[in-house]
Amino acid sequence: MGFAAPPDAMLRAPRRVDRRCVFPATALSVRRVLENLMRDMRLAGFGADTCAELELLLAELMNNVVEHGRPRAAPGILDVKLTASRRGVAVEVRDDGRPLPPHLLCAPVLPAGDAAGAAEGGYGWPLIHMLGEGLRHDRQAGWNVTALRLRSGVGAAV
Amino acid sequence: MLETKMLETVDHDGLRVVAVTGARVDAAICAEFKDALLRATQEAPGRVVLDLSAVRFLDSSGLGAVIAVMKALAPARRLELTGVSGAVEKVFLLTRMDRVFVIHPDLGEVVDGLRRAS
Repeated sequence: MGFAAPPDAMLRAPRRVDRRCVFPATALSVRRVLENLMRDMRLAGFGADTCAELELLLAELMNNVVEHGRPRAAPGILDVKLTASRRGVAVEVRDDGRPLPPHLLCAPVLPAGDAAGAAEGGYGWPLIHMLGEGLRHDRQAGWNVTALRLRSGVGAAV
Repeated sequence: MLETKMLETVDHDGLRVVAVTGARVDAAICAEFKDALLRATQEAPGRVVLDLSAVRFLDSSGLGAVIAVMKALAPARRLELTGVSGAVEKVFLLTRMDRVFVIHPDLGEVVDGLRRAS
């Protein structure tokens, strides 16, 4: 009909996503920000596996801040940067909550347990280490700065 | 708070199916979700199957709520799962909870199995 089909490479290559979101560190704000970021990622052409793994990685990073960063009655601030291109996906999460316990930075193990004794928590940071790589963490003038890249092919490895 | 009705239950012979109607089981609703699921499983028969087929996103706090309810029902009753796919399946695989829960690929087969057994 006069329109040439775009080459496959153009259909497959996702467009670049560059976002920064600054918002109160509450579970409801985290949910809204995740929904917006994931819509942007899908519209830019990133695949379902990448989006699912990124959403989980970001959720665990941000919800840890909500849960442990400050008292619930006086939530702090989350400042999240997402940079995604065909070369990879990088995130940087800043928060003004209390310092991150350093033991979380070296790959923590999954809580053990069977049906009777399975732990109800403690999965967040193990998931972050499984889904992310190149983790860097710094404390800058009262802010936690956590940066990492989305590991590729997690879905295929499990 | 967010969902007025998070769960729908259907009873079969010796089995209660509890279907999650919301697309997200996350930190924003995990406490309400856990309470609702505990209520929905009160006076349930010996087996409860949680149908997650409508759930598109579950994080570690949602997973924690499901584990808490499984433990609350044990040892008298068993919480099994169905409709675990996509992003939700990833969470169960990565945390190895796929080895702790009985996960049915198809709810229809579970219900058919009950009919055949009776």
